[in-house]
Amino acid sequence: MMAILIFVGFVAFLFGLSWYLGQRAKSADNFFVAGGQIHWFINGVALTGGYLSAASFLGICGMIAFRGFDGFLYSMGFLSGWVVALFVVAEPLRRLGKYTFADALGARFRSPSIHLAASISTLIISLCYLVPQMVGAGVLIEPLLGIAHHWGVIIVGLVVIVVVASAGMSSTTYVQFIKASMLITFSAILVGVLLVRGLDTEPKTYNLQGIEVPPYTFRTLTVPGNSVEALAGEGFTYIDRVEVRHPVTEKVERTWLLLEEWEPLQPLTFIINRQSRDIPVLQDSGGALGARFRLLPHEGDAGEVFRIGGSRYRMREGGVETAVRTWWRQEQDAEGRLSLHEAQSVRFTPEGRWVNGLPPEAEGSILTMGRVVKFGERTGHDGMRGPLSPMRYMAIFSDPGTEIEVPRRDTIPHAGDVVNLYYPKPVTGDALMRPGGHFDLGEGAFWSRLDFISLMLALFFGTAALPHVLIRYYTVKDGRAARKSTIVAITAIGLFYILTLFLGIGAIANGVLNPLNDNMSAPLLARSFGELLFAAVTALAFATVLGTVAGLIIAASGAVANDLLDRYMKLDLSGNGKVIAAKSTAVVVGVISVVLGILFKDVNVGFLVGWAFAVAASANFPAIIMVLFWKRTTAAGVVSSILVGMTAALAIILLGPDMFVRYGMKQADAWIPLGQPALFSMPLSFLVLIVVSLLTRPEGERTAPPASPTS
Amino acid sequence: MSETPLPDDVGLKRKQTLGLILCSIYALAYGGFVALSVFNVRVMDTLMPFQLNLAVFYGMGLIVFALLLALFYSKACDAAERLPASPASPPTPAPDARVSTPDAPPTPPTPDAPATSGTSAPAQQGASR
Repeated sequence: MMAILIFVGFVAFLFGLSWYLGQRAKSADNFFVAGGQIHWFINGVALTGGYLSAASFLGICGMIAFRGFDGFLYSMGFLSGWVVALFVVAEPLRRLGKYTFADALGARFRSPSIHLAASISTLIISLCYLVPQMVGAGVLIEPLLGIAHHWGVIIVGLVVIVVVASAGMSSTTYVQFIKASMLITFSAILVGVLLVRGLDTEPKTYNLQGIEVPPYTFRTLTVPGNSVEALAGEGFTYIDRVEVRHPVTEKVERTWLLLEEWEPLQPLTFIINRQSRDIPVLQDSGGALGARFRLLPHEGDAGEVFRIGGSRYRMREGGVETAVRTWWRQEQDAEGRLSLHEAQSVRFTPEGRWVNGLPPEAEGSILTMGRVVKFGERTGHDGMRGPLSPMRYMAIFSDPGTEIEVPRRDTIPHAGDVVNLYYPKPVTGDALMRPGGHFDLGEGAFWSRLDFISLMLALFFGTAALPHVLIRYYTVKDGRAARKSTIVAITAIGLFYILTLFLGIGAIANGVLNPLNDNMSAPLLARSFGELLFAAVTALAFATVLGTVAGLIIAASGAVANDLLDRYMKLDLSGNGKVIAAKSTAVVVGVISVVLGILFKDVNVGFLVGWAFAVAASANFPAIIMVLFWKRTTAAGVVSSILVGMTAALAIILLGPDMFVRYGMKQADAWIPLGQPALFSMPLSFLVLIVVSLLTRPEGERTAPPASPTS
Repeated sequence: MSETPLPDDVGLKRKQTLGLILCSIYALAYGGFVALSVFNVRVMDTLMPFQLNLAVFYGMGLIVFALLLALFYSKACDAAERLPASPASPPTPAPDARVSTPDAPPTPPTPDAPATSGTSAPAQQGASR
């Protein structure tokens, strides 16, 4: 409750302050463009605020926590994009006197088709951006309010649609400035307390809301005589076995065993509606409450077995037991001895979700995972908690002798249901802290290596091609101030991205990884340090999502109203008509992004944003570069390049292995084995532009003599 | 990279060239990381100062390097703009700029006219991730 109050207070404070300052500043709408009065430092921090969204915070931290260094690749790539924007695209574009991609194209060519192409690509890229923001919103709301993810998405969608469709958005410049300062400050505080806490091998246990629960250690069994039937002597009945094979090589990667054990239920007194009631509960070995059974009306003789719902119960002296089926991962050591390791599971049945072998009515829950199992000797860390320097923290994690457990998921079919299994995968420090955790960079992994190159390419070239990045570089009057602002932004963004590395691995060490959704790593890490930090960090991230979503929806509606309806279809809308068209677009785009946000809820938001970069790099980047640097470029070439680049990028994404999983099929069945499109779609877009330009005459171009230098 | 003579960098063309050179240098450093990862990822385990592995050292180094290059670029441009030939005024079209319109005479970018066409992206929107 306290967290919610702090959260609401914080969000209200942020928006109240921004509204107050926005009102006070007469030129609020032209805050930057009024130019000159704003100090470049403030401007630079505001730039940062516009750039860092919750997707950076949630997505990158989450991917680092689950995949190690590969999450940091996004940090590196996102920052590197600024280099291209600053050094290559910004100056010439400024020289054109234009601020956005579509403006630059419009300045040079008098072609309605260009407005059509630009509006479509703006819409698509905005949508690609919106989806991860929506996913992030749900992630933030879920642990805070304890409601389902999709409600978080719907709430954010509704708020933003109402705000944008009713009043439009007032200046978020101040909120961007305040938010960026505070997000970086609070992230730095979080890293600070993380370093002070230090590293040990016994993290606490949390539930998915990030609230500490009695510690639970997942069990390990040795299989007597390598015979699973012999487990009966230990109270387990062998039920079934499922093998998980590599999607391509068909080699068995993991073997899962389903075991059944009888667990005694204990009556525990609960106060419900001011009446005390004895409710049967399941307690774990430490005596902690494991699950609460809502239905259990039965009396019978000892030994009698009865069934309620999908569960079996057995009467015994003085109580009742229930049969719990749990999944165990089978491992074989060098001598061939079998051991079994308990996993968490969610079975999806028509009646509901069975969590860890407990029926839906038992309200069992998944616990967080992640821990350091042992520390390597290279750094000489004694395994005790206590302050560590940043470099030492990182060095301990990079040590090949350090062994770390990160959550992994297997999805298997079993008895007509789908079962998700969550198990800790041991990785060594050196493997975690080098590229290859997400992308397979080993020998023979041809497509995965291409994916890696493709992603790095998209991140490098994508930033400069985002329809709304460059404008931020140009919203100050003076070129020098703009450059200084950019340097402040690069510094602040770079610092933040370095912090993400600590937050990600810190989340592993503190055992706060939600195996169902990696996006929650950073908020749950904050919660492990107390409600205040959690609420503040969540509120900041949430404010970011709101601002970002509103901005993106405005960009998309502007594209439709100005480029599509006005310039291309020449509907000659009145000012009012344009506003109506823009607001209708805002509602439609908002609704689409809410739906997609719900569909993609368990996908890493950084990964999703990566796709937006790929589309931007493929659709817009070739057009920008060629318009700026190749005089023979024609309008037809630009239009074809945008449309072909965008279509190719989207097609590769939609027909690729990651989306096939979304469709409920296997990765191996994907029509295109590549998940990241830029490596092919960007060169294709360049090629199309060059060929079409050479085949067409530059007729649609505004034919003016070369401008002479003005004095 | 510091071979570019700053005092002579009076033209926008020169600034553009400097930008391209710096970007190429950064692209090489960035591409080096990608190449090492793809062709010999084990190299990333090499022990570097502070007992960091090469991946972390290189990765953080790239972030710092971007900042250093941006600082250098800014100083170089500042120096160019301080010269009399290029007073502190809004940039003007360069000789090779092919942008002038019959219906809208070439105007230097004024701060009052952002995004008047195209996507009309508002100044407030977030370029976010």
